[in-house]
Amino acid sequence: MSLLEAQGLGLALPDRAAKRLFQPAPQREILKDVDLAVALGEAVGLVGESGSGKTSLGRCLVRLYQPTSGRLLFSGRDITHLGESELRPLRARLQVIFQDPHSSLNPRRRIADIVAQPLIAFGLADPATARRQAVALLDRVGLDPRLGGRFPHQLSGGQRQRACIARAIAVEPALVIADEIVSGLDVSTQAQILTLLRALRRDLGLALVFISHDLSVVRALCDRVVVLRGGVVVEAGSVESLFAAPRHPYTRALLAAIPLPEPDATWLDRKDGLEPDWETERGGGRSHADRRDGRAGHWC
Amino acid sequence: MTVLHAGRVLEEAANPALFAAPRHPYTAALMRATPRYDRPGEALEPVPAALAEQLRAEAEALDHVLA
Repeated sequence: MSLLEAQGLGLALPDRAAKRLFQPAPQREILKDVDLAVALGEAVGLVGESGSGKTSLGRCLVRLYQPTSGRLLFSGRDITHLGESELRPLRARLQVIFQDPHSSLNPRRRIADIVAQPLIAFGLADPATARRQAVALLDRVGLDPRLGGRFPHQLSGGQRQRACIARAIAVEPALVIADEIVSGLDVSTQAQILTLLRALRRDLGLALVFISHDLSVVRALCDRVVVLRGGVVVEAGSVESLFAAPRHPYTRALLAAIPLPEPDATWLDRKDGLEPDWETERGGGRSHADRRDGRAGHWC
Repeated sequence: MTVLHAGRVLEEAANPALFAAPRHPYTAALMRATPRYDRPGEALEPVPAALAEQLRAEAEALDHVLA
């Protein structure tokens, strides 16, 4: 049985950009009939370009967005329509780490208090015990426990992301959704965080939904990959098979679009990039102009 | 290409040459820290703490000389 399973998940959100005066915002389909299963302790990479629905799917999986269709199962139990109070105990089993540690850490709280917070909020420890555990957690993610007394802005990007990881694992979740958590880091810090995530998976049996646009990072960390495009799963498989023999032309194009350090003067001019007409291939859909890439509160 | 660390130029080389044969250990360490989908077997190594420490010490010594 899967730990977390999405069956035919669909999501539509109001499109405020297309809203007309005095009219309700039109609904926009973000995800269409998405199937996804995460086994206990498994790491699943969610890849696709900006606007493909990666983040929306991640948010649906933990019910931060309410799916408009389909079912969501956690340990075999249907959680699609659970109310917030019924979801509450599950929230400790399903944690999220967001892309931007700067905006997901309260600027007015000290790091140790931030890490201790979920333990107190879920009633797992009294404040004094939670603080002691927070120090141990900081140590676990490779942060000097003395940094616990600092505020988020006094930490580097990599240190902040470690603090977010410490907070997420504080309640010993079964699954963590990690949304582009290494994207803003330099390669050495990124390698440190990836090594840490591998160790946490091994030691805690943590399952991971790892959202990333970077296929090399996904390959380094995940067991399986799900490729999203325009809210549709175009391909899914084990990392070995997907990287060795990508079946969908979109996956092949994504792979071809990754620059490698070896000198290849033709890479930029190659025509097997993301140019072909995908829309016709998958039978209509959003056009490029329609995707509204990179807007504030982006769709991806 | 120029590889900088703590305000110092560590290595300067033309693009293909730098990747083919990095001369400075820091450049090589950066390359080992970069995940590559085409080389999954390679271990991902952050820049070793000892190397980072040594570079910082060198930079500080240089600051001292310049001051």
